[in-house]
Amino acid sequence: MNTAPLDNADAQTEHVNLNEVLHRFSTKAAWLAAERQTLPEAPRAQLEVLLREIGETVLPRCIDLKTKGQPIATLTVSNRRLFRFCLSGSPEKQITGNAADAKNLSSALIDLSKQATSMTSRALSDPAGTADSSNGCTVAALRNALAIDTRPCDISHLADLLEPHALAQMTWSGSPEKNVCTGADVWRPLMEAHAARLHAAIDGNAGGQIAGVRDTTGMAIPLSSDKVLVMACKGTLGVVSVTPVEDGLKAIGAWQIPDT
Amino acid sequence: MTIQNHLDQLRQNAPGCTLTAFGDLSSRLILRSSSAAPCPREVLDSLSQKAATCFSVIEDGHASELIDAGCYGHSAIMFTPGQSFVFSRSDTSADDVTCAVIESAQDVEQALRATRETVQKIGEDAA
Repeated sequence: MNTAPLDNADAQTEHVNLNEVLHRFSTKAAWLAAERQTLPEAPRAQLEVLLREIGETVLPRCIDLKTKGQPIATLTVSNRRLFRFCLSGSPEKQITGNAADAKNLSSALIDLSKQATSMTSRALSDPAGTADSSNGCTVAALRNALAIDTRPCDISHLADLLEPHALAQMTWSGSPEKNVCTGADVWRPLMEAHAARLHAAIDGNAGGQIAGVRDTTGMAIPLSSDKVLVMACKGTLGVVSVTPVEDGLKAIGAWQIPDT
Repeated sequence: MTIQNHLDQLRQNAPGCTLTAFGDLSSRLILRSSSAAPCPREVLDSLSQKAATCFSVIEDGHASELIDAGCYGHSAIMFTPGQSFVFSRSDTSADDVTCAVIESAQDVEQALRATRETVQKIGEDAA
């Protein structure tokens, strides 16, 4: 596990999420190791894992990203910064801390997060070029360049977590009637009925307004021993998904941890 | 075993559980509750309101016709970024509901099973 002194300059300047820190301290080492060997399937979650890995690496290391066992990119990371970036078969690119560089990295990182299926980290044999922090790009700069929505627990994040396991899923922006459905059509009427009802309940138009709730609100209804209907909406955005019980309820727990 | 004992036990056994309660859906009232510190009435009123909303969404969305009540019975979970609210209705008396408030990022399935078990036990004791 990487460690950083409390008086580290980064710790003073970067935003530290206390919930995440507490969660990681309370998580068993074996689970963390397993989590790091295989990237989660949703691209957004993969990107978050990658950024977290960069943000937690203090000593110089290389992060190798692979898809189906084939290397696709190598990132050189040190002092919680990205220093070098190399796509397989392309020349290595030195990163600087300026905004334009971070912006250039954004599309490459998004593409990588869609392709990569595994990630390994190894100690860097030649740490030359990683000593000067001004030559690296911080996670905060990457997040800004990536325009990641840093509000915790947003709808799209939940949709990303549910999607890989969903038997059917429906998302909407605006009105639940204008939805996009994927998966088995047999679940569509059920999902549409519940999307409308949840939307109405949260808007307070159904005589059953949810008291005291102003944030993202969701519901999970076990349909049987192996299927659960998970739905959530906030404002004009929403998602409804039919998933296996275990996966659906795990997704809710994972969604409730900010920045995972 | 009293209802209060069942609620205390549920709160201790469900991971991250801060509040458990037993209520009546038709009157939307919480009749008993268990929490480490005294719980304001408004919180309990809000809990019963959430339970009523959950089950009305299920009924109006016609999910009740599709639910196979075998494993989880008639249960529902409401969740926000900060908490999960687990509700389970009794099989024998449909207005009886047991509620558990769970801190975020906890094992909701375990809480769901425990809440279901508790409402059934309360029903058996009352019979």
